[in-house]
Amino acid sequence: MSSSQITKKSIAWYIDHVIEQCLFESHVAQARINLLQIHPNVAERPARVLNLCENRYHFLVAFTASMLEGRMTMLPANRSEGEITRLTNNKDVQLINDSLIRDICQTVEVTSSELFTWNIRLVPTDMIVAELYTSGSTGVPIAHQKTWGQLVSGAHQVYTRFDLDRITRPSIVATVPPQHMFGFEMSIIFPLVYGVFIHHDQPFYPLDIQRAINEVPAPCILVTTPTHLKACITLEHDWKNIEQIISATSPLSEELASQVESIMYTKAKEIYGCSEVGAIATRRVTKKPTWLLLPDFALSVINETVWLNNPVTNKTTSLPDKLEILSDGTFRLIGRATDMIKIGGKRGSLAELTAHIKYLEGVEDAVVFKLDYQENQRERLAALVIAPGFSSMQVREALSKIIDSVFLPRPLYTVQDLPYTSSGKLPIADLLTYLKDHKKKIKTC
Amino acid sequence: MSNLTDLESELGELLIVNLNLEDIKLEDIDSEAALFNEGLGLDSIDALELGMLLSTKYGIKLQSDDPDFARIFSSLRTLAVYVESNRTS
Repeated sequence: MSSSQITKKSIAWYIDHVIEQCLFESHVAQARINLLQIHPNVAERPARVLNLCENRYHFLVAFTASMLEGRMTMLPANRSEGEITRLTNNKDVQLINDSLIRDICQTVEVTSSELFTWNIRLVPTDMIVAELYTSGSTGVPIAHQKTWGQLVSGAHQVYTRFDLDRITRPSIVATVPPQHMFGFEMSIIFPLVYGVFIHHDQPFYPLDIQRAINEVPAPCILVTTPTHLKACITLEHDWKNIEQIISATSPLSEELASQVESIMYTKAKEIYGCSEVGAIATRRVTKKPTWLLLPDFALSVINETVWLNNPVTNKTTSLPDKLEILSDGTFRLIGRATDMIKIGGKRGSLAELTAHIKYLEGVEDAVVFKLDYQENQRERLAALVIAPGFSSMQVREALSKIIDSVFLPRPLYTVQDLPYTSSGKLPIADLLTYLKDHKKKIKTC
Repeated sequence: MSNLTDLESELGELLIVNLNLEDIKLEDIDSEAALFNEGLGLDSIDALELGMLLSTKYGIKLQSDDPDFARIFSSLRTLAVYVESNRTS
């Protein structure tokens, strides 16, 4: 991109041009008027906004406008029909999507700055501005609310830990959606608090990512995941201007991280976090394999459960992972609590998935379990389902309508019975043996 | 009896072996059924894996801003047509 197009007040690359701060403010002002103030009676305006914008700039406009109208933004865990129906099954919710904001961006021009009276620094820190959802073991997601103050303080810790405050206005290219806590902190809160420049797109394939990096001013911070990085290193040339990579959702193996650093000419840093809290710890595995907590947090392990304490908010949260705390204060991730799964940055529970299958019409019984994990591979699930008269393809299709497709178990077999023990349990070892025998049986049929 | 062409069968096998679809038999795949979400139930991580497979096996480098992108991945048949006309190896 031509550096002459960029000024100190440029905030985003949008479609094919640069957006200046004043134009962003005009878009926000128009979104408030056109979308959020549409009901004349303030008391009857919905208190929540479901922000489904996939375009990062649209999301930023909708989120900022919602916050300035005192509305809480709901960040759906996925886009499955089931999740959207659940979240909109309430009259107090207003839905904002790409086409609504696109209409504003296509028509609004810069209005006189005298019209604007807002300053992001004046948003009350105790105002609840966002709500995220994590899986509950009963199948009903649990809501986690975030105040503006928590988001700003979380962003500040990551920003300084990664020395972004020493870079003159970095740009962010992110391959993760803004609705995911990691993408939300890095590509929505960062520009609002620090004025970093963002790319509107969520590039997917390595060539898409390279194009996006070339469209933003250098230096660029690539916010991504190990899955994308695995694909990126298959493209062995033309990586430039990446000041650092911030990866999250699952740990990078040391081997993949060092390949990334040498092929993409950069530093591969990582964040460990969860939706409930946001970023918790960081590392650069090629320098040190263990994780260093962000300054605001303290950890303790009580009866095998890991508790994270934030002395600033005085909040204590249990973590879904098993950790080993080392004498130098860093920690090592050992594994996930038995029921929890995490695929593509999305967390779910085996009990929840099993409950979803059991609710399907025609299903009499079912079990979902984890297969052995291989490094740098996605976590894999298998399901055994008793559904007389239905094929595994039919069960899979019905299930794909209500859950995120990353959680669709593979393989999913319809079977005659399940290997219950005399005490009514389904131990993992028995399930793995049953699965192995079942596969053999099918092959010989 | 499978209704797949040779290239569709080759791609179908590639998906079954590399994307952990061991519970699906090649002859069960309808060449016009959806690959993603419903149908085979593939997801975004698979789309990246599939991109890497097409790059290694056929020398195809995918870009999601290709105007035909959604159509390419809509079924095994459309994928085979795309591979046939874009393969470099």
